[in-house]
Amino acid sequence: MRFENWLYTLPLRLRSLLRRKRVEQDLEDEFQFHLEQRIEDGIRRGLSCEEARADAIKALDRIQLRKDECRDTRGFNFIENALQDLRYAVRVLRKDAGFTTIAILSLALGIGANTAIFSVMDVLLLRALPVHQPAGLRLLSLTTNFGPRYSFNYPMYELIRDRSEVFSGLFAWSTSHFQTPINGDMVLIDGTYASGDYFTTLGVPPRAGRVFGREDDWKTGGKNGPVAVISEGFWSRRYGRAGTAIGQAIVLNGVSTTIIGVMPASFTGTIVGTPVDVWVPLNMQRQMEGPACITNAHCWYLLAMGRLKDGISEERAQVQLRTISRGIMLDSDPPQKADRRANFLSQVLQTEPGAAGFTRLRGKLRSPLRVLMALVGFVLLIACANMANLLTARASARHKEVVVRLAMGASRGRVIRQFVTESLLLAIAGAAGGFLAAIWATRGLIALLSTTDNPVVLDLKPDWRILGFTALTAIVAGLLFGLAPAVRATRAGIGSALKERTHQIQGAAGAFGFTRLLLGSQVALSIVLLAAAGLLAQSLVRLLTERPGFDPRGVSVISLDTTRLPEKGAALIDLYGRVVHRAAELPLVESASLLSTTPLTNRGWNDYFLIPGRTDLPEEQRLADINAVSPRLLQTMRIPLLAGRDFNEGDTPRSPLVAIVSENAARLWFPNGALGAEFGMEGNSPKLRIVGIAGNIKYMNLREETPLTVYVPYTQSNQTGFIALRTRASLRQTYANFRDLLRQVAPGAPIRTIRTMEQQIDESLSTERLTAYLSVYFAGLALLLTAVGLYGILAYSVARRISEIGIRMALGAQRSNVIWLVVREAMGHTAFGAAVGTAAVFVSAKLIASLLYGVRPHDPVAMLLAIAALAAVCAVAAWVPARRASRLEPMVALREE
Amino acid sequence: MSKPSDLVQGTLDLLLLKILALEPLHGWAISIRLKQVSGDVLQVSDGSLYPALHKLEQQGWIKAEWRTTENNRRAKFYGLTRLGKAQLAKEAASWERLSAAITGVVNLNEI
Repeated sequence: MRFENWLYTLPLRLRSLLRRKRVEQDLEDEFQFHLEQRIEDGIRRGLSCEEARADAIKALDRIQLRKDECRDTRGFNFIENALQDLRYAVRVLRKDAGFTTIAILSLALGIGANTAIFSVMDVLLLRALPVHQPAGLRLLSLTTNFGPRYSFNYPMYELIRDRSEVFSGLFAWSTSHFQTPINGDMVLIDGTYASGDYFTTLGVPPRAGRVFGREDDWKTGGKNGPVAVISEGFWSRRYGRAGTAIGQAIVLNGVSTTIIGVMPASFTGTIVGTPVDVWVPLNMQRQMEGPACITNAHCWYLLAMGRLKDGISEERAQVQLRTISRGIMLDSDPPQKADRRANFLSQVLQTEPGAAGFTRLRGKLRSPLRVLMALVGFVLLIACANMANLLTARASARHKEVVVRLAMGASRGRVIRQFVTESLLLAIAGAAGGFLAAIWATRGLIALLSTTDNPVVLDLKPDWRILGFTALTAIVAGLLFGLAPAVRATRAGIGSALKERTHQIQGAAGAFGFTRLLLGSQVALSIVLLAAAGLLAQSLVRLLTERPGFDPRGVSVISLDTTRLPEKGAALIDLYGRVVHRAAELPLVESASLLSTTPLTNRGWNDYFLIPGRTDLPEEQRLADINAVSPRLLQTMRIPLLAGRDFNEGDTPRSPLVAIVSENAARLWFPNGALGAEFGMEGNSPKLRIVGIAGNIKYMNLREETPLTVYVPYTQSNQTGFIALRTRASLRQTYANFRDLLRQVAPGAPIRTIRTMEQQIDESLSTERLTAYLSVYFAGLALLLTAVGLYGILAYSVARRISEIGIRMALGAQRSNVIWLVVREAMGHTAFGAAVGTAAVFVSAKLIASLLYGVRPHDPVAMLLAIAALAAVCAVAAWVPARRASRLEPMVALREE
Repeated sequence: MSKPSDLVQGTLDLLLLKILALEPLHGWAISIRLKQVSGDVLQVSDGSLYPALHKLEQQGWIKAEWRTTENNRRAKFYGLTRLGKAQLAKEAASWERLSAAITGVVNLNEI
C-alpha cells in the first residue's frame, strides 16, 4: 500500500483497535438504518409490516455473517481472534501442567544462558558510554609493528592536541591509585588523572556540583586550588550520599583537594570495567607524585580520546592525523639508535570508534565471548528442537481436536495461529524466566572474570538492547519450534477425519521422520558442544597442571605504594633491601626476597642481548626476559640452581656486574659452558659475568613457550617492585605481620597488593576458567535436554507400538528382544546425529584453536569422550521406556486396542 | 468474501466508485441508485453491499461520515477521496479496454 493510503487507513485501523465499542455501534447503526429504510420502502409498496420486515432481513441475507465480513475488512477480527487464541492457549497449557513446566524450564535455561552471555558481550563490546553523542568519540592509537598502541606520553598528547584540527576536543587520561586517610588508616582508592578537556569533551554532566575544566588543570589547581570530582559509588561509601560532601576537602597522596562534584552512577569513567573513585586534573600529578610521569617523555601512560568536529568525516580525520604524524614523532624526543629511531618515526596516528570507551578486557575476551555465544546459541537450538518434538507429539495427541476444528469450518491458517500462539506463550514465559535467571547469572560471570589485580566493575543494568535481545530470541524460538509442528498437524484435510484410524498411523509415521531429524540435529549439536567443552576443559587442566619451573605454593607476593615516600632512586632500593631483610625475620617466614617482576602476571621486562662471538643468533633468540632480584630469590621460589652461585650481599653497585641465566639461555648462547662467560644488553651497557645457571621457568604466562631468562641483582640494576615471602602463615596473618613491619621501617608506604602466588596464577587463568566452566555447563545442559528429548520420543513411540509389542510377545518374543527393539530405535536416532556431529567438529574445531593450550583441535580423546558421554546419557534415556515395554503383559497390551 | 455472481469480478468496486463520484450517499441510497442507473440489470444484494463499501473505505478510496438525511435521520454517508478519484479513473480505463476487447471478440464473424 502506498503512503497516501496509510494516511486514510491508519486512523481507521487505530479506531477499530482502540474504540472497538464505538466501531461496533456504528456497524450496528448502519445496518439498522438500512433495515428501517427497506421496511419503510416495503410498506410504501403495500407490504404489511411483518412482510416488509421479513423481506428486509432476507435481503440482507445472514446479517451476522455480513457484519463479520465488515469486521474482517477492518482487521478487527485479527485482534479479537488473537485474544481468543491467547485465552485458549492459557487454558490448554494450564491443563497440561507437567508439559508446560518442562517446556518453560528448558526454555528459561536456554534463553537465560543466551541473555547472560549477551549481556556481558553487550556491556564490553557494544554498549556506548553514557555521554553526549558517544558516536562522535574517537580513540587514538599509534600503529606499530605489533599492532595498535594506545598509550601516549604527555608531550606527545600536547602536540596532538595542538596540531590536530579535526577534533572539537581532545583529552587524555590515566588511571592510578591515590592514598587517602580513612579513619586513621592510609588506604588506596581508584583514581583517574584526567586532562582539563575530559568532562567537557565527553559532555557528561555531574550528578551534583560541577566538573573541572581546562582552567583547573594546573599543578596546584586553578583559582579554586586543587579540585577533585568523585564517583557516585565513592560518594555513597565514603560520605553516605551527604550533599555536604561537595566543598569538603579530601587528602589525596598528601595533597588537600576540594571535592567539587559527584558523577552519576551510570558514568564509571572511560575505561569499561575499571572502577573509578576520584578524578583529578592531570597536571596535579606533578604535585601528587614525586617524579611524575607527566614530566617524563619515556612514560607511555596516557590514553587519549577526541571528539570529531561536526561535519568532519572519519576518513578526513585519518588523513589529517596521518599528515601530522611524522612531525609529532620528530618533536617527541625519538630514540637515538638508528633502527629504533626509524621504527619510532614510522608510527602513524590513527583513530578508532571510541563510543564504547576503552577496555583491555575487550581484546582479551572478544574471541572467548564469541565462542561462548555460539555454544550457548547451540544450547538454545537444542532446547528449540526439544520443544518442537514435544509439540509434535502433543499435536498428534490433539489430532482429533484439529480435525474437528477444521471440520467446523476453521481455516487452516486459523488453527496454525492457535498452535503458534501456544508456542509463543511458552516462549515468552520461558524468556521471562530466562531474563530473571540471566540477571543473576551475569553477576556470576563478572565475578569469574574479576581479579584482585583487575577488578571488573560493570554496569549490569539490563538495557533495551538486552531486553530486545531476549524478546527477539523468544519470538524466533517460539516460531522456530511452534510453526513446523503446527503446519504438520493441520496438513490433513477434513476428509481424513473419516479415515482417522489410518490417518493416525500415517501421520504419526510422517511426524516420526520429522522427529528423527530434530533428534538427530540435537545429538549433532550436543556432540559439538561436548567436544568443545572437552577441548576447553582439557586446556584448562593442562594450564593448571603446567609446571612453571618454580613452586608457587606457600609464596605470597606483596607490592608497596611508594609514591609518597621521600626516598627515591637508590635510597628507595636501599629501603626495599631493609624491608626484605626484616621480612625474612618475621615468624613462619622461611625466606624473603625481592623481584622486579612477578612471574605469570602477563607483565614483564625484556631486552635484546649481545652474545660475544655469536652474531649468528637471530634477533628473537637474543631476546630474554629480565628479572632484577635479591639474593635467595631462587630459594624462595624454589627455582633450582643448576650450577654456580646465587647472588649474595657481596653483589653491590660497586662490585663487578653479575647475572644468573636460565638453563635454556646458557645452552643456547654458550654451548661450551656459560659459567664465567660475559655478555651484555644491547647498546653501550657494561658486560655482565654469568655466575650461576638456574632452572627454566615460565615468565609472562603459562601459555608461552618457556622463555630465556636473565636474572640480575636488584642492587646493580636499581630495579625492584615486589617482595616474595615463602611462609607457612596464612595470607591474613602475613598481611598483619607485614603491615606492622612497614609501620616501623617504611611508615609512608602502604601495602598496595598482597596475594598468594597461587591466587595470582589462578587469576591469570580467569578467562580460560570462564570459558572452560561455561562450555562444560552448556554441554551438560545440552546433554540433559537431549536426554529429555530422546526419552520423550521413545516413551511416545513405545506407547504407540503397544499393540505391536503385545503381538510380538504373544508370539513368543523374549523381554530382551523387546528391550533390544527399543534400544535399537534409540541407537538409530542417535547414531546418525553423532556421525553428523563428529563431522561438524572436524570441520569447525579450528575455530576455537586460539583458545586451546596443549591440546590439538582434533584431539581424539575429547572426541571419544564426547561420544561416550552422549552414548551413556542416551542409554539411560532409553532404558526407562525399554523396561516399560519389556514389562508389558501381552494380554493387557492387546486389550489397549 | 461473497460477491454477486452476476457481476464480473471487480466491477462492483468500479460501480460503487462511479456512483459515489457524483455525490456522497448512504448505503441504502447506493443500492437504490444502482438499480436505477442500470435499469434493474445489475442487482447487488443488500448483504454484499456493505462488506464491499467497508473494503473500499479500508483502501482509502472512500470516506465515511455520519450525517442527517433529508428526513432528519442519522445515516452513514460515503464519499470519494482523492485517491478514490484516481482509482476510479484507473478502473474505468481498464474496464474500457476489457469491454472493448470482449466486444471485439464477440463480434468476430464466423467463417
